[in-house]
Amino acid sequence: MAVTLPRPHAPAAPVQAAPEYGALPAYRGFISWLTTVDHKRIGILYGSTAFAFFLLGGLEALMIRIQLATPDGKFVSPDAFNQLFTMHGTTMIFLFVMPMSVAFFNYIVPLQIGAPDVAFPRLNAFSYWTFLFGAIFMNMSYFVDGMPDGGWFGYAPLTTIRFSPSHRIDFWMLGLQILGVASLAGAFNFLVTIINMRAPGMSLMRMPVFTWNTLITSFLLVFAFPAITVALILLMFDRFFGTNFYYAPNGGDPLLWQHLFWIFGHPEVYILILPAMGMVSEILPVFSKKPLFGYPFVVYATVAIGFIGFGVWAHHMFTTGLGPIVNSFFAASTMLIAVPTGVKIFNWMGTMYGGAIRFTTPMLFAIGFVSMFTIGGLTGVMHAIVPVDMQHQDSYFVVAHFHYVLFGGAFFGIMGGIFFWWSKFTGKLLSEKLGKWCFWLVFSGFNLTFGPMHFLGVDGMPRRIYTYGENQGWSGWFGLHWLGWNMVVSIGAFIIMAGMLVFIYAAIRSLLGPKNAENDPWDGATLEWSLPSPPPVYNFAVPPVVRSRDAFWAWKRRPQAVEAGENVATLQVAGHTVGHAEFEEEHPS
Amino acid sequence: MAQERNAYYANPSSFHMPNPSFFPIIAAFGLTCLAAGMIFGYALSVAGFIYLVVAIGGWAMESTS
Repeated sequence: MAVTLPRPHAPAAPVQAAPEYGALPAYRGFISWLTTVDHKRIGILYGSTAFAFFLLGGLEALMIRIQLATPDGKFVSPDAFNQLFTMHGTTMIFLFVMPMSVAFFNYIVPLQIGAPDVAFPRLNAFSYWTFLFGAIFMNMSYFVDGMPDGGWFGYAPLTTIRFSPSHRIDFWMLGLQILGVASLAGAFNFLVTIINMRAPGMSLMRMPVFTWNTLITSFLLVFAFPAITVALILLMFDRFFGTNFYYAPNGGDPLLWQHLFWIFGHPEVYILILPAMGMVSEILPVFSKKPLFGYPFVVYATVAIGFIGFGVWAHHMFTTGLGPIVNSFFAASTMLIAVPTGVKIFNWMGTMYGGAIRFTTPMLFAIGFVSMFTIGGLTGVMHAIVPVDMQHQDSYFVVAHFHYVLFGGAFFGIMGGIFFWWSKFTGKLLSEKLGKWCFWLVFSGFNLTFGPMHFLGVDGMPRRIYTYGENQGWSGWFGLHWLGWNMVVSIGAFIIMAGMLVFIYAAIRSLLGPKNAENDPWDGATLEWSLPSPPPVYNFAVPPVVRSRDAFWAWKRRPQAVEAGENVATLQVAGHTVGHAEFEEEHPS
Repeated sequence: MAQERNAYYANPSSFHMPNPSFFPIIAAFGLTCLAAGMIFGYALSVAGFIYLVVAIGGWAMESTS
């Protein structure tokens, strides 16, 4: 016997009988959203806010690309350009990818572990509102002094009061502090929730991989944010109270900022990518009809990335002259962290190998993630080689590299997650046809945008450059001064925009349409698919008892169900159709 | 313990979910005002601090049932 779970379609299930909001007072409409402590509603708030900021960050990117499409561009002023690239980076990292990941943590994790809510529901609401107010506060800068303009990693001494006397950096610095409070509140909440509130029988090694990635990401947040908090407080003292922590002539050390920032900043990269890895690790098995290949290796690789992620920060600083011993250490640790990442890539491929693959939209995004993230990972590990890094430092090659990781990786994973769980969030289906249009437009636009940046980078084009001349070799194909890789890159950016417009159209059409989604449209493996879509406020009317991984799959394929013909779906393992006994072998109780 | 839990789940209408609350949003607003006062004037920081303290106090004493 594998699992005892409430039956998904049982007509007499207590789910139907319960009042929608249990014992909750009946706030209605707008007020109910301001006061909600329901993890699912907070997830929706997080997700929709993050998507709004994605549109803002995307608009900033398009303006950057219009400016750089042709030589001697004058679409924006140099000052505005500095503001655009600073806020594009800051917005996409802190106001889109992080909160969008937290949206999934909120909605999905309690459902996957069989919990009624998160451990601290009001702290969860506090986390969202703090994020929202911090994000609005940071962007208010535009109406006061112009947007922040010190780059997303805000290197000192540029950001000190001597070189940035306006309030722009103040908004950035204080806004990040507020966002840090939101992130920490969320991280502690998920740590306690995952450690304490798992369903009976759900041992750590039976936990869904997305939940594992949430756990590790939360640890990373808790240990990484103190470093940037310290860095920002020192900067605040320098800017407001006349101290000299980062001012070398008075005994300060600008490199202190770089160290503190990147001790945070590199784990931050994993904070951005691990949730997407978790989503992909849920999507690939479902659409390959096979359990995740080498589940323990995926888990241990995630844990290893969490640890090693704190030991690689100075590879961002090879050009500062740290000396051969330090450079060698960080070169070695950077090569080392590629190992668990590579392990995961092989696991994902192993999951698909021999599977009964369905090329749905979430699956396309997941495969897009694996392939594009691999390219980003390879160009990343190239920079473990110090001389190579010194050549590429601050060039468009690096811009290409981290967009393959964060767009080809994190963004593709998130889009896969949105298409995968959309029906669970809304009770409605997203059009597969439009989804595939969205994927192919975004995928081709992405490669057109960020692929040629590699070439521009090795041809010497520096990142953050405002404009360039006709004769610098970055344009001038066929004797046309405006035609070159930069034009191709800008056209690619607009193709991405077209893909996202298709997604927005599909989303609006779905939201205005009828509730037509089944509870389990994909033959899902984990517990959230056993619930109605969207789930009731209390989630589980009967607490699930878990005796294996992929608990809902095991329940659907239990011997009684198979004999009664309740669920004829079978698992494909390495190309062979298997029944329950083999499944149990894969997932010992 | 197991019996209690089973009895609890046998009657979903008795589910106790946490109450909605205004205090998280007030606390978040207070925290933001506290920081914003560094730019817009310390009076705003003081107001933000008061908001924050009131919200935390209310949060702590709010009935959860």
